[in-house]
Amino acid sequence: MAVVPMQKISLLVHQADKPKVLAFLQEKGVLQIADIGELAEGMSKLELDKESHELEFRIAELDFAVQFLSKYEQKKKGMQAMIDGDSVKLNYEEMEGIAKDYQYEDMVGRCKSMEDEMVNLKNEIKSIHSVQEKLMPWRHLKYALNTSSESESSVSLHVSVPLKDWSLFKEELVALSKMIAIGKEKVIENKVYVQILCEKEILNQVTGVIATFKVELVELPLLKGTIEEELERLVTRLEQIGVRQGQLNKVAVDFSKELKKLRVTYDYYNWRLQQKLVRRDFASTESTILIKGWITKKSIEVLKTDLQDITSRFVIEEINPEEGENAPVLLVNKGIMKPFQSVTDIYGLPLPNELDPTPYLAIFFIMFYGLALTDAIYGLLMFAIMFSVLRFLKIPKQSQGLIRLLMYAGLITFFAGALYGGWASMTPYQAPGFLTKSLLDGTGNVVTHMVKNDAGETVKEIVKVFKFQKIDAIKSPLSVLILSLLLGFIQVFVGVLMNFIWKFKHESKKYALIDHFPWVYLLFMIGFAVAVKAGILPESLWGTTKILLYIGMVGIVLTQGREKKNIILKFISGVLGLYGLVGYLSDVLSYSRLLALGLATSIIGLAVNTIAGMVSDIPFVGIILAIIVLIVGHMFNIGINALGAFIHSGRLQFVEFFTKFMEGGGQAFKPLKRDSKYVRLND
Amino acid sequence: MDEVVTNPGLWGLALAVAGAAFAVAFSGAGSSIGVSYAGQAGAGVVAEKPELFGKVLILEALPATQGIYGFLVAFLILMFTGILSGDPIALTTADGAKIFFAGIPVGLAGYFSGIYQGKVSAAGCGMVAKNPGDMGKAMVLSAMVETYAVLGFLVSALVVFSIA
Repeated sequence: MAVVPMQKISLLVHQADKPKVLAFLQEKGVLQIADIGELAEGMSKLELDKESHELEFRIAELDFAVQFLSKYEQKKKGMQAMIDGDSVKLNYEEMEGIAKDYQYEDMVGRCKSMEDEMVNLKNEIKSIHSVQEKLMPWRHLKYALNTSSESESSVSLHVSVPLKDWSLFKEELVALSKMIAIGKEKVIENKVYVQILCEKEILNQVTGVIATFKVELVELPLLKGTIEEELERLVTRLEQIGVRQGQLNKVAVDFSKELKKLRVTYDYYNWRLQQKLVRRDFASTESTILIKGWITKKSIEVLKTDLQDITSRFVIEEINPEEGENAPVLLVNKGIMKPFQSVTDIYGLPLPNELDPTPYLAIFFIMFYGLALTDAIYGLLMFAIMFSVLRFLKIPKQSQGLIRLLMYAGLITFFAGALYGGWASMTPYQAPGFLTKSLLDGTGNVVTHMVKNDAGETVKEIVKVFKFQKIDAIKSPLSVLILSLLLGFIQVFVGVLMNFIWKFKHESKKYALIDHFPWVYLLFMIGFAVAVKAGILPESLWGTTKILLYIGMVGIVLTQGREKKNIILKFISGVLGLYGLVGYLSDVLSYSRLLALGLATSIIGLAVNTIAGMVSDIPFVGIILAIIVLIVGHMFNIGINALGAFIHSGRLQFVEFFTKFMEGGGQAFKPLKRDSKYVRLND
Repeated sequence: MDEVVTNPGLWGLALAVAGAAFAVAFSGAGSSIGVSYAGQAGAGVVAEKPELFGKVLILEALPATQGIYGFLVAFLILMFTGILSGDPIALTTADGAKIFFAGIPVGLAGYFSGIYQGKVSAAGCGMVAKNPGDMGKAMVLSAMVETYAVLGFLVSALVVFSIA
């Protein structure tokens, strides 16, 4: 339930035992390897060896094959398959059994040649299409394309002219000389495709006209056949390519059955590479290897005994961290607190000498979540969905926390909703009878009011209210606002108090009393004074309270300037310290969002119900439309407000609560372990 | 038209409708601009990493809340003034003006916060593209801007409640 204490150790092993020891360390996953720092004399840093590079190559090849084949994988359908994704579940022995003997090189080679061919075919299709496009307008030419386009005295040109310029262009050409023949004009879309024959002598003049009109000169490819023949040949080739592509796809789909093996093998070699990569942080002599790293204090003894089974040639010593080096941070929370760690994780980790906020934020987070959503039916739905997801689907351990958290949150939302009378925003008159009761006045009589019925007559009706309802946010928003601010004050006060207690216990007692206690006292007195003023505590206490409050303020002024040297500066920064009150005030006001978010949920629900009521008046299809509106509308409402409640409740923890006692920014504990991309070992 | 000019009750109602229109129009405009910023950045991320679509969609949806708050205030105004049920209540010009002013906080706060939240969300898309694990942080950064729309909504809703 806390930040786990860490110890830096050094581990000296014999060179010969290195592979065994590293495999062992990776399997246990207890030691975060740290940089060796300054080398002692006679020591040298280890470099990556030949085997490491080989492993890197293997992994790259396997990765290629996996990426290539997964495009052709037949995905299983259903929720479970979606959750599992690419992961493979097995134990280490099974994994080793698959990976050790698997001749993946053959498969990788085939994948490579297949990819090559596929790319070539694709490029060929592209070039065929462009040739087709070029040839299409010239289908009327009946000669072979590689026929020479010039004779001794004349030249043949192919041009495409924009239709709007055509007549002008033609006129100018004809005007040039009689030695120009213009072929049959072919109009496609808004271009004219035409062949021009001219004397070589006037070629320059012709090209001059072509250039002034910005006419495109077409170079037809020098192919053997006539255009018609060539086009036909291309179509046949396209068909052939299509068939071949189909074959290749089929083979790829067939090969994709090997994906599981490939993935397992990828992880198997990747783990071995991970063992190799850490060696750059080691120091070595001729016969020994020195490793430094961080380990949880509890695991040191376990490591010593377990390592004995592997080898007896090792020394473990506890050492001091380098200057400026911070221990990595690992938070451990058990049982009901565990899911809340996913909230802390969003913010980041505390520093190693700070406390783990998880257990403290848990109750506030879940309470604020419930208040921001406040609908019993929505809460129940969320609980039911999350519960069945956990019950009927196999969720990977690392994603379970959030789902469990939302399950608890659904339950709390149910209770909050019942207290607020939020049942999918129904009015008591729309709700089923078992949820409501008649309102009684002080003498136990039923309260009635006058309403108009459908026929327009005014009739007497019994006033109904929801059972369990204690607050009505729409009729008396002020009471909810006060409740929100009160909860905010409590959380801020708890934060300040925690800060004081932590500093008092773990850092200087004196400075904790001087720096932090005055704030605890002053905030407490402010709370006390508000309670007196609001009539919760007897009015007669006000005189004493006032004096105690002033003492608190004087305390702040006297203590908060401690670090200044000059007495006047001390006084000034003491007075400025009081300004901190504004900060606390704005923190508390920030909790008013709880009212707003709760209102948003109930009003969107109200809007949905009203719209559904309106469409239900449409003859025949009204009921069906109303049901659709209700389902879609309320699902939308749950979705948007469940997300909003999570973010805003989280924000209240991060911004208003954490800042009172935590700096944050701790580095996560990352031990050498079997980090896998696909394999889920013993999950 | 003559009736509207001569009957002060209808002037009140007209002002109330103007308030509802202001609330929904401005907050909706802000949200749509904001969502479009986030959506453009998100499209870039999804082009590179299609598997992040879900996360990007959530980030894009965050600046959409302002429009909803504006709609809610408009809805409350239309409901409390009886326009929704087709049986409008009589409002003095002063009451109508009060309701009109109720539409301003959510309308303006929603307009500006919607746009700026969209920018933060767009930047958040970049964060998520680099490290999908930073999703929570990106959402919280974006939600910081939304605070002021929430407060605007709160004040608008409280004023509208006061006429009921």
